[in-house]
Amino acid sequence: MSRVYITGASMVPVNRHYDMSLFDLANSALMGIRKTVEEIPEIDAVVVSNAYGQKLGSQSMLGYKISRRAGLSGKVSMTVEQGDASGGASIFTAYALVKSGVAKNVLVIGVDKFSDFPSKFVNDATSSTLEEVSYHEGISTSPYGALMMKSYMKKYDVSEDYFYDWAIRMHSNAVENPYAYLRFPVDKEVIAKSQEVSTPMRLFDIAPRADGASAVLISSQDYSKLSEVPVEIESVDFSSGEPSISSLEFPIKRVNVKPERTVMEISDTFSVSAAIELEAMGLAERGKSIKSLDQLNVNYSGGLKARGYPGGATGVYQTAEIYMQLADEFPGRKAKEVEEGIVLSTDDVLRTSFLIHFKR
Amino acid sequence: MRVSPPQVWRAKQSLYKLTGSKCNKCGNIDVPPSTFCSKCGSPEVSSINLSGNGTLILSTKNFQQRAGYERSMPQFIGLIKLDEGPEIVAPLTDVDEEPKEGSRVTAVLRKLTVDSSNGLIEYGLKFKVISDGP
Ligand SMILES: [Zn+2]
Repeated sequence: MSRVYITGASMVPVNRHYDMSLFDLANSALMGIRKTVEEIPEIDAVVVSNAYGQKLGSQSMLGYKISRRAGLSGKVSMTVEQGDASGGASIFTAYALVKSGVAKNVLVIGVDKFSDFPSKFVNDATSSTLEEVSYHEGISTSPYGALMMKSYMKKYDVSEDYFYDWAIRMHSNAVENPYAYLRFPVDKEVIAKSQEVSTPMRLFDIAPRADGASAVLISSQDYSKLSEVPVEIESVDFSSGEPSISSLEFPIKRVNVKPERTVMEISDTFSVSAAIELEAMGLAERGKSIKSLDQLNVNYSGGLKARGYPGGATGVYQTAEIYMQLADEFPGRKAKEVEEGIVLSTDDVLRTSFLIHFKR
Repeated sequence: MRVSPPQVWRAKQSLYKLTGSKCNKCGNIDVPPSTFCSKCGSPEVSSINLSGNGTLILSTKNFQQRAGYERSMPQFIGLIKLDEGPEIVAPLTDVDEEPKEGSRVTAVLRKLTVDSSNGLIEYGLKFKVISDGP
């Protein structure tokens, strides 16, 4: 079985791209790959990662349509949808295709678009990831984040301001990332005065939705030299289950890494999600993760909180960011002396997750 | 069109009354009901009618709007432990402030949303506080 490498990556800055369609965004990410990978190999398969294009863009079959527009008609193409974990699921799909020998080179394209509609329609689309009955009852995903936050505050006896450091750190990282959406610093006062979304959660505890596209080239060992610094995908783990909000038990795998040698991008849909993930992965003490960020090379992109949250494209961005960090090409804040990388791609309320391990 | 009569009709076991499924093998209760046990995968499950009574563990006052549900804003959402055991997240009704944790709640039928194009009304369960917690 072949070893699997990331051999190229590109991102479109996350933003409100009113002038671009889903296809324009995807093409822009593909153009980015063409500019960075000197000799594009023959592509065997195209995997498109998208979560909300059917509902918000009225477009199905993006796998086929995007590959045809890229001049890749006749290749295997598909769309992978798993809510906000679509990116992780897509990387896993490409990894499996290459690992098994079915394909030598797979192009993964993450794309999603939120800014074409006012937020109440977008909330309706993202709520479609909830169970059918909850969707009909008018529930959206933010109350879940709020209930998790309350549960965390109660269990570990912390107040709302415990979480402020997450937003502050994410915004300070994003300032340095040219691909980030919210490139401005924030302080405690700004967060404390921001709009309440679902008590006790405020605007700065939630990832802002925006448009984005990112592309990653995944290749077999024969093609690893396409990248000057080949980055290997060592493994992809998967967890899923029903989270228990009151006991804060979430189905996420524990990781076995040296945190000081590992650069990571995790899914901080809500500030509390970041805390839960870091603790469930065993990377920080329970109830104290947000106070131990100095010991972790986490979300140098700015995270979903400040890089921005482009729906089903998120996990592809995270993969591109870790690849660039390990290949020493990331244009933002750089992780120092790291050898390994982790991407944790989850859905918004932590029911399913993909954990991708990278090694330089 | 927002409200689909067949969709609502199919979901009647969950929208109009609180039904669950109990696994004959491991005892796990799923709400909404499921053909297979979500815990052990066994197909040997029986349908059970839940009392609709429970205890409020936590609640939140939600200001984030969703198209079609503007009239119920701000919305109170609770994390409820049903007397039969399972925890669910569900809308609360007839409350003006966040109710006390530990309050006893019961399921009642309420209007959920109205279809603006054809006037169809969708009904479903919400939870009402029946007594304050300890
Ligand atoms: Zn069972």
